[in-house]
Amino acid sequence: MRAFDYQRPESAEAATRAQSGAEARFIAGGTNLLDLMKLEIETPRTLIDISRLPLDGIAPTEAGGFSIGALVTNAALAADPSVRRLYPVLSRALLAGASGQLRNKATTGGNLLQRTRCYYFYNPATPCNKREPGSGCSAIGGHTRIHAILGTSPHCIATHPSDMAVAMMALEAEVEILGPDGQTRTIPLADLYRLPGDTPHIETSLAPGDLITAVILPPPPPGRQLYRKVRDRASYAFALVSVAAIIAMENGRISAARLAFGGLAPMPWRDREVEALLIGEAPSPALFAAAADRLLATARTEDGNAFKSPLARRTLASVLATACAGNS
Amino acid sequence: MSVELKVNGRAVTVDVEPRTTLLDCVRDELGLKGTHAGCEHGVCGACTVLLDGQPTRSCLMFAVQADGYEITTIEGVAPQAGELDVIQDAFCEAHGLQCGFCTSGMILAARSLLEREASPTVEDIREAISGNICRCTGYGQIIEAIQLAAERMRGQNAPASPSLSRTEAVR
Amino acid sequence: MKFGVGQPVRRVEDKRFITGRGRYVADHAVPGQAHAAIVSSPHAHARILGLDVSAAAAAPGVLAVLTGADVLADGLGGIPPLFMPQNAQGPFGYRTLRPILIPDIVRAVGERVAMVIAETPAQARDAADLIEVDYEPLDAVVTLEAAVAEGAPAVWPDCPGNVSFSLTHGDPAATDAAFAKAAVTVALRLENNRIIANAMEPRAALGLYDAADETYTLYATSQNPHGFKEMIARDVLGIPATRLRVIAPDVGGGFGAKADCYPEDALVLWAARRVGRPVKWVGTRSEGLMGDNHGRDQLVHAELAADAEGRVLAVRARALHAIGAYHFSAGVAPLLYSLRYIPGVYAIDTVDLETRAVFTHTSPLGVYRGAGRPEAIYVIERLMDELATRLGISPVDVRRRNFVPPARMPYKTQTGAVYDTGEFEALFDKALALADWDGFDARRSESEARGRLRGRSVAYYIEHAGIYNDRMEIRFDPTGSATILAGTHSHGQGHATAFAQLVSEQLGIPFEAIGYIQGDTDKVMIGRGTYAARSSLIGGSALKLAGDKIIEKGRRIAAWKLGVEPDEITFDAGMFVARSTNRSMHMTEVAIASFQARGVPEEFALGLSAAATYSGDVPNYPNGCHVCEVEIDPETGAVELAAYAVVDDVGVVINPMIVEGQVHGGLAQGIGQALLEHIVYDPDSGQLVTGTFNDYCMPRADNLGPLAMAHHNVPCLTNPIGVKGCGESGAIGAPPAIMNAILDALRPLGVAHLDMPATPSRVWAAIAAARRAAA
Repeated sequence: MRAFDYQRPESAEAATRAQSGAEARFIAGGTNLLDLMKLEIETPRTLIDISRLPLDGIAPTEAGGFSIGALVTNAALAADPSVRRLYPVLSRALLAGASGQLRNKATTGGNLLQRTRCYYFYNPATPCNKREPGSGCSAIGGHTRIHAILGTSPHCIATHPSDMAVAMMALEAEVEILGPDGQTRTIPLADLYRLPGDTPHIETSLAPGDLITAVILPPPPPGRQLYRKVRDRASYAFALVSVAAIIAMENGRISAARLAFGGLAPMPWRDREVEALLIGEAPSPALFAAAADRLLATARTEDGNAFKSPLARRTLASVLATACAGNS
Repeated sequence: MSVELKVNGRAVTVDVEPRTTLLDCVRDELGLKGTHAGCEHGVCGACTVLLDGQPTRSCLMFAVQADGYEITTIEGVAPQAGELDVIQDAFCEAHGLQCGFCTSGMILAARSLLEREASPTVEDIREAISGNICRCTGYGQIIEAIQLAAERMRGQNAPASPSLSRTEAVR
Repeated sequence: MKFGVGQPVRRVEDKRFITGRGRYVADHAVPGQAHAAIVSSPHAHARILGLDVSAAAAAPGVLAVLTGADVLADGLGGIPPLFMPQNAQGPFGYRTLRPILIPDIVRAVGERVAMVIAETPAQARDAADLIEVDYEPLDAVVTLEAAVAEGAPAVWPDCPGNVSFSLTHGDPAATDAAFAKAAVTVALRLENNRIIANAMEPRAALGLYDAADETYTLYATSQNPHGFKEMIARDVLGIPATRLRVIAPDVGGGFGAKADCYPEDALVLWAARRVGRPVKWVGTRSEGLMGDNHGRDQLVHAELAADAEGRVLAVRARALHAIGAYHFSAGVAPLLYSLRYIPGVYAIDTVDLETRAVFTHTSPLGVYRGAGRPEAIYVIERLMDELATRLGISPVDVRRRNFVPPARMPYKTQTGAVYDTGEFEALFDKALALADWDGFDARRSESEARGRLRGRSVAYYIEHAGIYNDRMEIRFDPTGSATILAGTHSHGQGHATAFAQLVSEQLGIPFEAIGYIQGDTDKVMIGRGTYAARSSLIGGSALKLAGDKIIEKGRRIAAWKLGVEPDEITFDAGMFVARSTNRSMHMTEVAIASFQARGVPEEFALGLSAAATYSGDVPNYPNGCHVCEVEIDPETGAVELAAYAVVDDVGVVINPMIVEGQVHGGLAQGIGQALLEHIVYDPDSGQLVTGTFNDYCMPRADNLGPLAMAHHNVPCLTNPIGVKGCGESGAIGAPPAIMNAILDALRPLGVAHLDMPATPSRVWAAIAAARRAAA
């Protein structure tokens, strides 16, 4: 691991000012960053420890939702009684991720910003456009079992590994950001992420010095919330496909639908056209198949991840069937 | 840089590079070799310590981040030197270890579980230790050990013969 | 007897582990020690054109940078394989010598290219990153089929085609004839996935050099310290073995991967001499996944011929086994066993078996839990289910019709193994009862009601436990307590306890007072360590023979002290009794008397000790039956172990608690191979895809389901204590049991075949393909 300077500013404002320098990184739980530093994939010259900042509260908002401090741990968030009651999709997604010990340290903000688990990104001996822009993508044409099929580019097919962010995407969460100018702004979670395009090393819309201070959950939407994750073993594995679904029914028809997907794309994936196609319709296998067709219309697969199209199709059908059943 | 840590109830000051992990710090600076490096990536749990009672990967934390926390390592589990606490004793009694390398992390994960849940189910135990890999035992006797410890901690226990239907407990 | 044989005695070694006071190699710190970091090859196959170490050598804290050129300049040797087939009247194989640092051509990702020694581990690592290696990448092959394909790049230029040797067993003509007259034949192509031991303790080495008397000391993560000593002294350093001491302290699991020395074990010694300081290297897990020996990686085309009733007439198999870039360690052993145990527990008239040892640009093949027996049993047990399916009979009946019956013991197989004992059908029935085989339909209906597929299987394994002779010593001291000096090596198996139980029972001395020494070549005269499930048999038997000698000598000492003739002395439960009198002496008193400073008759020699050797040339044959039920979610392909029952025949049990742990642990590794574990190299670049524990999945507590265990122990007749091995059984039986159960669940959907590991994505893909084919 490369040597670095360590700072622990007393306030969020001080932290943002400190991080606007070159090659500085925030560290909170550190569960992903420290790992990447060991592999020298991340080589910050300065680490700014924000873990003691008072951003670890969960508070109701005036709008009837909740504000989750960026430093709330995944374990605390999953266990929070309000979250469990009002946002079960989120608490299930959190419990589906990592292990208890990592959840004890991993934070809400850090979870959103974790890097891909692409094997080639992790292996400095192989080209990777995310790690070394312009060096090429080893995954394309390589071993792609965990790679994306939606939203990819010829330069990168890595997936975003978070379960939590998938649930938050379905919940239409917003991200509160403090800039180095001392101004706070709020953006939809969907706008935090950037698709790889020809700059896969740029993963978010955050500018230097931007610090995520909270995630704002709107009031819980009506309907049944489900999170289903398909992976290669029960604990400590990243999703091959995951689906966060919030489905409301009225008179035997789907009245509201929100769907977000993990494991399929470089960011938590939401497709409003899929949702629009479901609304107003009575659940049926044909409808679910049409939704999957729509979702996967732009899918681009490799030999190694072609299975994800049918897997996503079946997982979606299964989740929708469960969500619609007993929810009228 | 200088860091003040509270380890096993004792305040210590160490001088470490910022890049020193808590794992390397407790092993090399404090000489507490019972915390082990198994994978360096937070996957295996051999490096588990308790941070304010919560099981934490010491390989995924810098020592400089740990000041102010109560750190408990395996060396701090026994009530007194030369004694064993109930969980340690149960691991021996139920043969919940073979090579011993994962054992520190398993015992600390068990301790955290039993502090919040006096009567864990087998599923609770499996979940609590699912972040810790053991390559020797197949986990069966570790689960038995934690059940035995829970039973004894509830005070309902007379030392049971470990030969009694050992597989029944796993079933 | 509380501490005697057959008792679940608490392990004497446990206290240091449960209190965090175990001492593994990485825990040792010696004054003045420096730290080493390795530069390893990022290429699967490349020529080293140049190597610039100047920046590294000038970096802070650096004491030395060593390269392959330095190895050559210092005239060091390399690491040969432990043995080749030609050493045992087998075919001639292409022998390799593995350099401890590569000077010219790297042949696998992870090959060691340079070593940096610095004041701190971080400085060594930092400097290692400054070494510039100019590589010319060459074409690489990492899979078996690619390696034997026409025109494949040669791992070794003078071994074109990449085949080092072929091994055969059986009678091709008779097998052809049996196939010609068979009512039914079945054929399978089976992949036995490349996996790795991944003992929780990564490898480490600490080397010391004493310039004054030119002696070396190595602390090694070793299952076999004497083997390390012999090979490093003779083959690498070229020094008299008297100048090298190897100590294997607490070792955090081995499973075969720590059976023989690696380049780092020699490098730290050489580096210690070069820099004049002790040198310590502690491997990272990534280095382990890249650079430790791997296991399995075999591809078999297997066929079976049977009559219309399902009686097996013949088996034919053609296998490829990947040996990696070098013949290394005991990597030939898996090939031998992978053929020899294909007949399993069945009376098969004729076989025609062949395997080829294939070089690939990967880490070398070593021995890993079972070493060849899992491959062999996987072949026959998959074939048996295939036969049952073809004939429309149950997997129970097809096995019942083919078991070697007890009446035919000792039974010699067509591959030359001689089974001394085994009640296969009786054990089989016990397993079926334990698993409630007949109640399956109800459980399946219940699963189906929940939308799950349920399948079951029964698989029978037999294995070859024990290899090579070994020596054990019992040494009393003047206070009358005894110490065991073991040639075997415990790294989790609990030998300090099990062996003390044996000695306590045989000699009638207190268990608590028995000392135990192992793993130090200066203290133990010779030993071969622990692997191949050998220690209870060979260590235990040798210990029994040493105990017999102690009793014989004790009888003479007691006769002298009691003033009677030796033949009047009887020995029972620790007491020497003079028959004609009422006088007696305890073993402890006899031992004390043997150390008397005056008066001991010269012919007794001073003190009481004895060493004995057990040959190990005749192995024993643990065997058993696994009954597995799986539940599969057809929506996701996830496989859950719904029920698992194991009945083993491990002969006489010394400590049931330890046996249970061994069986259970082996089972977990077998489950891992069947469902989760796979070392994957990128077929084009030769890069290791599964380079961290993030990518290499092993069983966790929540992957393992309910387990029922029982025994049907038949004492072994070919060793003096009746034991059979128990360390490898679970890893052998589980893979075919699980795969057959999965296929049983999936066959109704049209899935005919599946290879390991049966990950959800593979299972799901198989279901999807079958559905497409049916549509």
